[in-house]
Amino acid sequence: MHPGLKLTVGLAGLALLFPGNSPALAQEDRVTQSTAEADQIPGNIAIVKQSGSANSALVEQQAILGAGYANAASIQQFGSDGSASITQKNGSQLAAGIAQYGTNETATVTQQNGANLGVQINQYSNGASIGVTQSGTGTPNGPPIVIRQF
Amino acid sequence: MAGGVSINQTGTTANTSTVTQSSSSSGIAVAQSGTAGSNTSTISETDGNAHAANIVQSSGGASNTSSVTQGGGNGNIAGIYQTANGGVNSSSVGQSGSTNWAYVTQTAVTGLTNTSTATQTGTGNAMTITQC
Repeated sequence: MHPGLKLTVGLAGLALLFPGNSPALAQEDRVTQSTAEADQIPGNIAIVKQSGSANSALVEQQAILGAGYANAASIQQFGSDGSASITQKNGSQLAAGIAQYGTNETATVTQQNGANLGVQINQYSNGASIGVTQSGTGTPNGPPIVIRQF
Repeated sequence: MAGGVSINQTGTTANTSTVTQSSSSSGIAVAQSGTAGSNTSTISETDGNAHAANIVQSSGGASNTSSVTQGGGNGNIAGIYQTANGGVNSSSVGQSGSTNWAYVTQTAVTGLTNTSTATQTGTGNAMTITQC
């Protein structure tokens, strides 16, 4: 973890990057806050919030300058038949969070060639599917992945 | 009633544009390029259907900021392209209605921060964000 990085993307999944703050950030009310802040480390921040049915969200992020840059993405979908996809490449911090509330939701996250990878997907859904692919280095024991289906 | 607005700003310092429309089948295109100053563009479209808003911003030394709001209709399209070399890209999109589409492409040449926020309310909406 870079000491200067402070990313709060308003999704519980991104709390994975901040172990010291995880209990607070993991509260569900954080999901609705949709705030983002990048402090000291430059990078890409994307926040998508969709309400309704059959919505789709696609976020692609690439830290073209490599290490020292962060990618953070949050997608929240409230409705049925939604699809959310996040692809992140390179960088020293990769954080992806998806929260879906509905039926027949689909979530896909791909993280490539980065360090300190974090994914959390929460689905409050019937008929939901998830796909996660990670490659890179993680600390301390591999990239953290948290998937919750309710 | 169809409307159309085209804005092209090439000032070397700060460029600012604000467009508000309330007609259907309207098209708005904004192009801003500044070698030293910041670019700011705000588009607000309310009522009616089939709005198309497109913003292209290129900054050589400062920041790009775009905001598009499309409300109350269907079939709206919002596109934002931002390139900053030495500054920050920031965009926000808000759409309500059905079958709306928004896409944002942000490039920070020198590696500073890209920030994009999107909110869509309705059915069959699509959002695409590309950042590098």
